Amino acid sequence: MTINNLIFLPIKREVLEKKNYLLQSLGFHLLIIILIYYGLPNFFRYRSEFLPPLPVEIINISNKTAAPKINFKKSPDTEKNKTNYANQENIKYNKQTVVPDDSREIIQDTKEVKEIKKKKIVKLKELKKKPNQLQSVLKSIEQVKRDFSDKKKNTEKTESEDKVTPTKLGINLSISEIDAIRRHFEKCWNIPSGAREAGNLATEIKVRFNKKGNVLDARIVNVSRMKRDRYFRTAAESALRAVLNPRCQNAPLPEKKFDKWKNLTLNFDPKSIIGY
Amino acid sequence: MVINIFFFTKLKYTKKIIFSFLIFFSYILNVNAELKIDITSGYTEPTPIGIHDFIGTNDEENSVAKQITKLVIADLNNSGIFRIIDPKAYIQKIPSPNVMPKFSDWRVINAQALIVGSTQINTSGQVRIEFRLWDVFAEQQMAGWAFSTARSNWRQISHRIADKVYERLTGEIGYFDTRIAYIAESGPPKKRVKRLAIMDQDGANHRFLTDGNNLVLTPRFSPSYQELTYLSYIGRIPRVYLLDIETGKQEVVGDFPGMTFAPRFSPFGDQVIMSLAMEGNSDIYSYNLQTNIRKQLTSYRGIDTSPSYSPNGKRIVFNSDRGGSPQIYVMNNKGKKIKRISFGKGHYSTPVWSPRGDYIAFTKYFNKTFYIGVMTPDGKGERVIAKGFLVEGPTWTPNGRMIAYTKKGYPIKKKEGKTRIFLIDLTGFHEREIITPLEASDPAWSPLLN
Repeated sequence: MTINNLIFLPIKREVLEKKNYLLQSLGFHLLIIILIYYGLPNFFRYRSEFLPPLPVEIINISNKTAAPKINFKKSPDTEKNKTNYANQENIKYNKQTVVPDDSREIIQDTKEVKEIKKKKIVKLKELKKKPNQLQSVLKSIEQVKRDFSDKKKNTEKTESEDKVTPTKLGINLSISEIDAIRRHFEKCWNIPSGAREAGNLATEIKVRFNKKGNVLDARIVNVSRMKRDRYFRTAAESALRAVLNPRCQNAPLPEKKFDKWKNLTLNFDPKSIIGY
Repeated sequence: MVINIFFFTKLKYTKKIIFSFLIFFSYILNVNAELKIDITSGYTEPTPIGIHDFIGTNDEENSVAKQITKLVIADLNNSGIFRIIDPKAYIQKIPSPNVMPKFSDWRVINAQALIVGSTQINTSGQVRIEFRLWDVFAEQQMAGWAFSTARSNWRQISHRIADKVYERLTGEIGYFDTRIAYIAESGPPKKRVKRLAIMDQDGANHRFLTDGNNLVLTPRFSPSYQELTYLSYIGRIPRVYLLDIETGKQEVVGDFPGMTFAPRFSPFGDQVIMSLAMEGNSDIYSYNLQTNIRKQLTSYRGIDTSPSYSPNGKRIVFNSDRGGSPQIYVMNNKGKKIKRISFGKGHYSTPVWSPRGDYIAFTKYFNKTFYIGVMTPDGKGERVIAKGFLVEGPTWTPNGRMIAYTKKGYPIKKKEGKTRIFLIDLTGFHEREIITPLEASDPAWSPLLN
C-alpha cells in the first residue's frame, strides 16, 4: 500500500458515498413530489360503488333557536287612518262616477296618495338606516345626534322584546335564549366611557340566580386587579351595578333549564364599543 | 423479586386509578362548566346619584352644611357624568352619616350611589366635615373621608368633596378645585375690547387681570398654578408675556428679534415654547426661563406654530404647512424625528396634548365648518366631537377627560353670533356652556392645585 493510496483512497470513497447520498436524496425528493401530485394512497378506502345515501333531515332552524315573533298590537290610530283612506277612495270613486269631467282632480289625488306612500317608504328607510345607538358610545359628530325621544322608543321596544321567552326548549340554552340574557343586561349597563385604556377593561362577574331569574348573589372575579387598577375598579363596579340593578331582575331565563343558568359568568367587555 | 413485582403491579394500579380519576374529574368539570356570556353593549348616561343634605346639629352648622351640599351637587351635575336626583324624591331622611342607610329606599329612586355627610363647628371656629359614599346596589361603603379647615374655606372643601366622589366613581382625578383663565370680550366687532380674566371652574371668584387697553390672546397656565403666559399687543407689537396672577407683575419672555406668539409652558414649568415670526417665516423656539437661553427647534421656511409638549416633556406636537396645507406634526423635544400625524380631509390647527397623554385635541376646518376633534399621538382614531360656525382653541381639563373650547354662534340677521366657552366630554357627549359674565374665548384650564 503506497502513501498515495493511504491518502487518496478514503477521499475517493467519500466522493463515491456522496454520490450515493445525492442519488438517494434525489430519489426521495422525487417521491415527495409524486406524493404531493398524486396524494397519499389510502389502503382503507371503501371500495363499493354504491354509496349509501346520507340521511339529511331538514329542520327549520328558526323553530329551534330564534325567539318567537312579537305581535305588535295595531294601534287604533292606524286602523282609523286605514278606514279614512278607504273612505277617501270611496269618495274618489264617487267623484269618478258622479262627475266624470273631474278626472284631473282624481289624478292629482292619486298622485298625493303616491306621495304619501313614498314618504312612508322614505320613513321606513330612515328607520332602517338609524344606527344602533348603543354601538356608538364614543360620539363622532358625523353620526346622528342622539335624540332622547327616539332613545326612549328604542328602550321601550327592547323591553317588550325581552319580556318574550323562547318557547321551544332543548337541553342547552339556545342562541336566542343567550341573546335574550345578553340584551337583558345590556340595557342596565352604564358603560364607563371615556376611561383610559378602555380596550382592556373586560370584567367577569359570577352570578347566581334563583328560579325566577332574580340575582341571588354576584361577585367580581378579578378582585386583585381592582385594588391596583382604578380604571378597572370603575369598570368592574359598573358591571356589578348592572347585574344588581333592580330594573334588571327577572332575567328572561327558561325555568326548565334552571340547571344550565343558575350559575352564569357574565363578561362585560367595553372593548368593541370604546376600545381602539 | 416478589416485592418488585408487587411494587410494579401497585404502580400500575395507581397509574390506572389516577388516570381514571383525571378522566372522571375532567368529565365533571366539563359538565359543570359555567356558561359564559359576553355583554358587549350598554348605554352611556349620567349616573344617577343621591346626595342627602349634609347634617348639622345647630343652625350655624346647618347653614354651612347647606352651602356645601349645594356646591357639591352643582359640581357633580356640571361634570356631565353624574345626575343628582332631585332631593324631593328622597324617601329616607338619614339622621347621621354614621347610620347605615336604608338601601331599598334609595334603590326605588334608582340612586346608584349615595353621599351622606355631616358638618361640625368647633369652639375654635374650625369646620369638620365628614362624609361617606355608599354603593346602593352592592349595599356597601365605597369610601369615607373627614376634612377639617377654617370656615372661610368652605368652597374649597366642597370642591374637594366633589373631587373625591368623582375620583372614586370614575377612576379619574377630580378637577373641581381648579381655575379657568380666558379672554373676556366686549364691545362691537370693530372696537372689540379683550381682557384677560380668571375664575374658578364653576364661575365663582371672577376677576380681570388686564385692563383691556391692549389686545390679549391665548393665555396658558404654568404647571405652578400661579403664572400665566399669553400673547399681548403692548406697543402694538405682538409678544409673549408672563404674568404672576397674585402680584400682577408682567414681563416679556425673552428678547426675540421678531414677533412671538402661541406660547405654552413645558410640563415642568422651566421652559416656554412658542413661535417666532421673522420675514414671513415662523419657527418654533423654546426659551429656558432660568438660564434665558433660547433654542430653535424647527427651521422650515413655511409656518410652524402652536407647539404643545407631551406630559412627559419628551415630545412636541405642532402645526405646520410644510406639506402644502396646515397639518399636525409630532417631533421630539430637540426638534428631530418630525412625523406628520394628521391625514384626514381639511385643515388642522391648534393641537394640544392631553395631560393624560393618550390623545391630542385639535381644531379642524373642513367644508366651511369648524370642528373640535381628538386623535391618538400616532394619528389613529381621529374623532370629531364638536362642530359649529366657529369652534377653536381646545384646552384639556387637568384629568384629560374633558375639553373646553371657544364656540361662536351663527350670525343672525347680519349680527355676529356670540362667543362663548363650552365644555365637552372626551366621548363627545355632555356638551355644556361655561357661564361667564361677558362673552368669552380662548379658555385655559389651570393644573391641579397640589
